[in-house]
Amino acid sequence: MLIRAKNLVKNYEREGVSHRVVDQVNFTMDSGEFVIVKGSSGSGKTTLLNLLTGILKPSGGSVFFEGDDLKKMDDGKLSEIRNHRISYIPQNDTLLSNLNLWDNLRLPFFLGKGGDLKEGELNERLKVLLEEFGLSDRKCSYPRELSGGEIRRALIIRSLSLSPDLIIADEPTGSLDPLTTLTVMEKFRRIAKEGIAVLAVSHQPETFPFGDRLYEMKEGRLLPAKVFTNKK
Amino acid sequence: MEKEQDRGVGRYICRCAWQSLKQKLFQSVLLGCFAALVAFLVFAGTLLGSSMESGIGRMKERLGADLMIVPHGQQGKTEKLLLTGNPEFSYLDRDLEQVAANTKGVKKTTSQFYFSSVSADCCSTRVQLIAFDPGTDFAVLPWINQEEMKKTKKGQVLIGADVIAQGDHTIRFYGEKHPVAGKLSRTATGLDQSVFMTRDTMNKILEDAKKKGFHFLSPKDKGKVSAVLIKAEEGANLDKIETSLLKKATAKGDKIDIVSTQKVIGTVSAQYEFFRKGIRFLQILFILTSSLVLFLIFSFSYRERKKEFAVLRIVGVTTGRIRVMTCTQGGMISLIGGLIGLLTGALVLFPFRVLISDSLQVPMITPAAVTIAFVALMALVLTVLLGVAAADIAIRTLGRAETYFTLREGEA
Ligand SMILES: Nc1ncnc2c1ncn2[C@@H]1O[C@H](COP(=O)(O)OP(=O)(O)OP(=O)(O)O)[C@@H](O)[C@H]1O
Ligand SMILES: [Mg+2]
Repeated sequence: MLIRAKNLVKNYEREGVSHRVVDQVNFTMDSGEFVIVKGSSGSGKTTLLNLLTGILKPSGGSVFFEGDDLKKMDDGKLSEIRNHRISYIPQNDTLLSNLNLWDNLRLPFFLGKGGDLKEGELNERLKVLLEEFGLSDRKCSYPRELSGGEIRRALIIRSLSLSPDLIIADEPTGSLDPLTTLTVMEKFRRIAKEGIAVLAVSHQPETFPFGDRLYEMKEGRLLPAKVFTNKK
Repeated sequence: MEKEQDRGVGRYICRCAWQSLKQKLFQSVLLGCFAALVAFLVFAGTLLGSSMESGIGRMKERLGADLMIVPHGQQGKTEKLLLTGNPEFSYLDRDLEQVAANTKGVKKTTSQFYFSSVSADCCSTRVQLIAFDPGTDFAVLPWINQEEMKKTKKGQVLIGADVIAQGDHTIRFYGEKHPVAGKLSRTATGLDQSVFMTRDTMNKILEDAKKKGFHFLSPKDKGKVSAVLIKAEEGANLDKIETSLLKKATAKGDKIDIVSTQKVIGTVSAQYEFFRKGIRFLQILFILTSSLVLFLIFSFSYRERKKEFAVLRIVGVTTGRIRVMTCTQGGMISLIGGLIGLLTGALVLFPFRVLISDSLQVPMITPAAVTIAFVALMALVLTVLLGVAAADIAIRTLGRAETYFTLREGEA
């Protein structure tokens, strides 16, 4: 079992009233699984993903990564996990505006622990990924010079750069055209086949069949919606 | 660690730090200005203080006389000569020296004759000519190197530290060359712009002047002197000597003033003390306000850069490394600002050294190059430390808010 959420709860205070945004979520994922989560806006999807990556601390319950409780890890260990074990593609643009695309893509490698990769290997891998996602000629562009879709693709490349065990993606195909959306979903499918777990939030029904399992987030609860057996 | 070196993490951090400084140009310039201010004040203030201190120290050593008899109304001018200026003089009867020598408590007396030359070839400014009496002198000769003394022949002169001789070691007055026998060490007083000679030489120069059409008073002609220098006996009461001298002179019908070098030094020391305190106060005030301002600007800019830190957290950068980055940035900008501050300090201090010394009426001796370098280094280190500390405290204060590093939707 790669990751496991146990009775996960997150409350937010709003105008003095406590709101339960994530409510008693129990959930597990194994390596090589591709799970998709859908759900209406404000249902708590992003909050759940933030809890799974350890960026947010849960109000109750725990997240276990390879059996270890994230709550009990220090900053160094958590950072290491986020750097090259769980890679997170946030919902919004998280490229650094002061660095060009190439430097942005190399950010996790240079500023994090970076795993066992050598710089040369990283550069090679990034070049292949840039080619694959059609961004080869934008290496030197700054984020402000990139379109929304290009930024999305760049974030996907960044998440793949350090061969993580788990990719958590918040609406990775949100601002992509149908063709690129399919490319990305196929890519995730292929990655899952290579043994990497993928957890993606998506609103687009055409993406659902790429996953192994579909969940629906409803008012903080995570409910199984569908299991696709054909792809396994 | 070695693996990290291989990856050039340091280089990458520096580049990131530099990039975001460049992006927030206005903020960076502001930060740099305050860092420059700190460096400037620490550097210039400290150097000014130590220049004054050694200037006063040297002045104390060099003023051989305890009292000086000068013509009535000349007191201020003489004090000015002791400090910086080039005054005009009137003259005294020479026999006052004998009167002084016979006064109780007086150990030695000697007389000097002052005269300002308008046309020395050597210098852009006027120089002060000072004739001393080699037979009785105790104020000039002790400061002349023994070797140079032996070489000194008739017609030769000694020059103060700021006077520049010509290539062939001569100095010219009224068309006549006078060999320069030696240079006196710096006193940080007006004596540095003076030329010292015996009475014979002075008389010769005055005659040369007469040939050229200048009619000055000559000590030989009238038996006049500009000042009588008095060295008191050990432990003698200077005030008593002063009163008795004034009484004798009045009885003789001479109008005199008496300059107490101790008092001059006292005034100067008080002046210096005042400036030293002022400088200290300004330094502390500006270091404190600058630190506060640096901290506020950093805090402000970090709040603005919330997204950047959230991104770094998402890709697995530790809070420790984020601190390293922000401190690198603080260090960079304060280093640049500090260097600018030092440069400004040097540009203000060195060319205007004489002007500053003049207007503050405190003698100054520029410290040795090593001392200057040391003070500069200290100022720079202090500035950089302040910058780093301000950045570090700012980021740590922010980091304390637990959810700070999370990125919320809509917060792009
Ligand atoms: N820091 C916070 N403080 C208070 N309320 C919050 C905070 N973060 C999220 N919420 C609230 O929690 C709820 C769930 O937010 P979340 O971002 O998880 O929704 P979502 O399912 O990702 O929505 P979307 O599909 O629009 O991205 C929302 O109602 C949101 O307003
Ligand atoms: Mg969301």
